[in-house]
Amino acid sequence: MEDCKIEIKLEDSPGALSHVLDIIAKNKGNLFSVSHIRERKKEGFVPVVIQFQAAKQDFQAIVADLEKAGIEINEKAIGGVEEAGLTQEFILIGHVIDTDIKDTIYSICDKDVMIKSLDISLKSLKDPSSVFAEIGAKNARAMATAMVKLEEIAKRKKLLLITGINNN
Amino acid sequence: MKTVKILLLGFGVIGRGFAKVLLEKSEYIKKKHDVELRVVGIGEHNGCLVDEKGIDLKAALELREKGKWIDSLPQWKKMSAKDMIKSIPADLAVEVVPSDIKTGEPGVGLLEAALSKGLHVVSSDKCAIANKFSDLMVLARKQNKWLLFEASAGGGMPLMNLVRECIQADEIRSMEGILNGTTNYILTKMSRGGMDLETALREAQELGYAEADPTYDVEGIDAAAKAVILANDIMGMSKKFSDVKVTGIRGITKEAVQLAKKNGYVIKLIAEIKDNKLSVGPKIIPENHPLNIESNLNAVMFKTDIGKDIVIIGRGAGGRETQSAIFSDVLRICKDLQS
Repeated sequence: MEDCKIEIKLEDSPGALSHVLDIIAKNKGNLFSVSHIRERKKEGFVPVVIQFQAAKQDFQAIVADLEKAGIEINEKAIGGVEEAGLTQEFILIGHVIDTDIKDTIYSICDKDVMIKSLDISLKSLKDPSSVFAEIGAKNARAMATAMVKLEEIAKRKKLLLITGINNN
Repeated sequence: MKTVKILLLGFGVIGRGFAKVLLEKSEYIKKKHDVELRVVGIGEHNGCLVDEKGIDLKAALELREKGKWIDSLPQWKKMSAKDMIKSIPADLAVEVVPSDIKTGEPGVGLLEAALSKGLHVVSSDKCAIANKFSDLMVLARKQNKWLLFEASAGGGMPLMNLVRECIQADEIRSMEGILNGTTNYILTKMSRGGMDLETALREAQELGYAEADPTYDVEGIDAAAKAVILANDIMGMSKKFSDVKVTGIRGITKEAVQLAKKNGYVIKLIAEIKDNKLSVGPKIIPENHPLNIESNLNAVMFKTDIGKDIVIIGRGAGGRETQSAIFSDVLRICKDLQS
């Protein structure tokens, strides 16, 4: 049995957590703790960290069943090793499109880092545009490297980068 | 009852605020603290009002409210504030001059003169304190005098006194916060009211929250000076203004603020002190984050090793609100003078 941890994006509604815990129990997971990170609640979804013990194959089955049930997994770890998963949000302001947004994204991403979502606001072609993005990284080191790259790109392309409070 | 003689250095918004609160609260202070605070000199850039029996603060305030200068009062002397410090017997100086961020003058010179004369000092002058923090602290220690400056960072919010008096055993691991009310007002209006930056800034100026020249606020300079003071005083650093990585809010568009809002975030101008580094810049924080405070309020979150997260919210500026911090410092010194 291994120590397992997952962080999921859970709909803040009655019965949602119970459904997740059923999946863990069905796959022989032994539950330790459940904590809601309410300060990060966003658009009706609360990040929930669940710690449990499970055999490796059962952990994989739990992850697969959660994904099948449409539950988004932010982070998953078994035996203290992160399998995937930190996310950070950022905003870029300026001529983000004109300075080749594809190049910006490709320069940050690699096998451990991906842009998970992108939201663009464009007033007109002449005006500065704004991009809100969520970046996902396999681990803290990959995230830190990605953020440094992002800072360098923003400086080179004269874009204003606004990160979260802990992303220096 | 102990009488404490005060030299008031500066009679601008903060100086007049001091005089008004002293007139209003002198009986309360006598009753609660068993001390009479007597202003025996007011120093201004072109002369001083001096009366060892106590300045008629009411008369001085009435003149200024009528738009007149205080040089028409009989106690007016054509002497510099530094000469007044040297020649008029007093116990403490309250220095509330607006100084230059690059040089810290004229505040630094006044603070040095007062400490050298052997006066205890209370200051709200962030530019002077941020510029010469280490030198001034060394001088105060050498003279064995108090140099307190709660009002210089956070206005009416007790930050340094909170840590000094109430967080005794904790190590402060990091600090982050909103230290400038003007930019917070602007960003709140951009988020809540859908305004662009220029319109929100104009509204802040009309309400008196922003100066005619808002550069110090909008470019993050004001917040950076306060961050230097907090880093040095609370976290024992030796930072200067030039050590702060500063980004202002000029480049923030209405569209970016609305995009953040759509995704459950707000943009705030945040000062961060951690890992021996100081920065001031716009940051995105979740809408339900404790630092998401509105209007022209300030807020600071301390992260400590024992008490964990401690958040304090208050008025960061204002002629009256700042007096809460100034009088706390003055009365702290009085307690020492009484013993």
